[in-house]
Amino acid sequence: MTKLNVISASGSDTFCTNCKLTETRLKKVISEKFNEVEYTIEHINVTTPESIQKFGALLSPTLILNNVIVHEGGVPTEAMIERALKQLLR
Amino acid sequence: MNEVAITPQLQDKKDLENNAFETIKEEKEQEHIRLKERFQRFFNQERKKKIYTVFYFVFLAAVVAYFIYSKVQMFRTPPPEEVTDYSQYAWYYIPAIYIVDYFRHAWNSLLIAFLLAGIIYEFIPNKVIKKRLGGGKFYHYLLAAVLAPFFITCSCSVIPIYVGILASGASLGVAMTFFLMAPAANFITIMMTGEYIGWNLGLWRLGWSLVAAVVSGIIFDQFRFTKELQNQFEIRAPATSEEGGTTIKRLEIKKTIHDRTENAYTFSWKLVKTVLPRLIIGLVAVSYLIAYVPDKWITDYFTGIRGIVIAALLGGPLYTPTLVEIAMTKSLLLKGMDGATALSFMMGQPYDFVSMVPNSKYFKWKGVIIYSAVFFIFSILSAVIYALIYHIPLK
Repeated sequence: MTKLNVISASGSDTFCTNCKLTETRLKKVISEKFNEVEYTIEHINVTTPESIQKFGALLSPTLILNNVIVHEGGVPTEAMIERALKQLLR
Repeated sequence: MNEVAITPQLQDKKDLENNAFETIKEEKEQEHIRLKERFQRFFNQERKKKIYTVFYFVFLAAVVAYFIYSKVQMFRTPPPEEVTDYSQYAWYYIPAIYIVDYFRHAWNSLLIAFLLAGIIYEFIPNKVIKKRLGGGKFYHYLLAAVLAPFFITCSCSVIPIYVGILASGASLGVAMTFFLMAPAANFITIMMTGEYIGWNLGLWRLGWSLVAAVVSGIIFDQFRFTKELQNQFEIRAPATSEEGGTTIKRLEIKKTIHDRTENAYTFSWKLVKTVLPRLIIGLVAVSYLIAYVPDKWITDYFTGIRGIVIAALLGGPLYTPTLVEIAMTKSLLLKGMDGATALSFMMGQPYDFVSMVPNSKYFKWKGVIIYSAVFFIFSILSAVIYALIYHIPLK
């Protein structure tokens, strides 16, 4: 059982459509190709001071997997998420 | 009635028939499954992506080719500009006729604008501005103004860009220039102004918005309270992300051409879905305006220096989506408004009351007043210069 910590970053407290789309794509890829992965999703707002303190200034939507910034400022495609997961979980 | 008694032999025969029938059915089902598998094996994920990519580029090429073709055709035989009198139709027909008229003229350029917006979004990523705009030299203001038209961003990703620009060391004025320029002259706006109204006015609009945005950014940076605002942001932004305790790494995922096209067309489609409903509602409103406002009012109040001032003042309370504004300007032009007034009207876009409220959160009300004043002055100034150059009577 591999563990995965997902941080999904958005520009506001209410989630925008792009951020939602990123998350649904990630969930789909995990459920189809990475069944053994156990994951937790954490939401952050990139405009808050705490987030800037921790990650620097990010664009939205940003996908952070196991403290690695995988994709910033756009929605990654399913193929890209799959590639990232393969690299990270190898 | 002579019923057939079911004898044992007959029963056997029936069973035989049934069995035969079932075996045939099974065979057919199996064949169906085999075909389906073969189909799926052929149209697997990889091939599907390739087909999508090829289709996307063929579609793009076709749209661009038609665009060039229609340009050439128009160059050879320019179609007469006809003024339709919409008030002759029944009230429930007016919007329909107006919208059909609009799309008949604009569908091709709209399509190109949306497709190219997707491509620009994908190939000029938001990260670029975060890296390039750090600093408060004149060069940075200009760069912000030049880069802004290429970023068609939704409202929720605007704020992170703003914070990102500030955290990477840009001054508040540069951020303001970027923010004023993005709605005033984004790529789709310029494209549609040029195609639907005329490239002459389109380029004037672009140039003067650029000047006005840079000037308001520079003016804004001269005040002391701006420096104080700026300091708040500098404290918030850490030099490196390693101060937070956890180390954050970055991973560059390989991007194939299929990923890029997929991103581009999802972006275009999303844009269409958000823009089109608003555009149509706006067009309905404009159609009634055009049909029932008498021509005399327009020639009286929308010409000369009076027209320029009225149009510039209208920018505040009139909150219209840009594409609707362009359609409205075109119709007013056909009804007798002059070019200078049209320019002043279109320059008034950035200072509507509705967007002042969210902007005041970042620039404070002082900043909002500064940029409104600068844009107001520049919309009048640009229109007057336009009138002088093209000999439009200012009386």
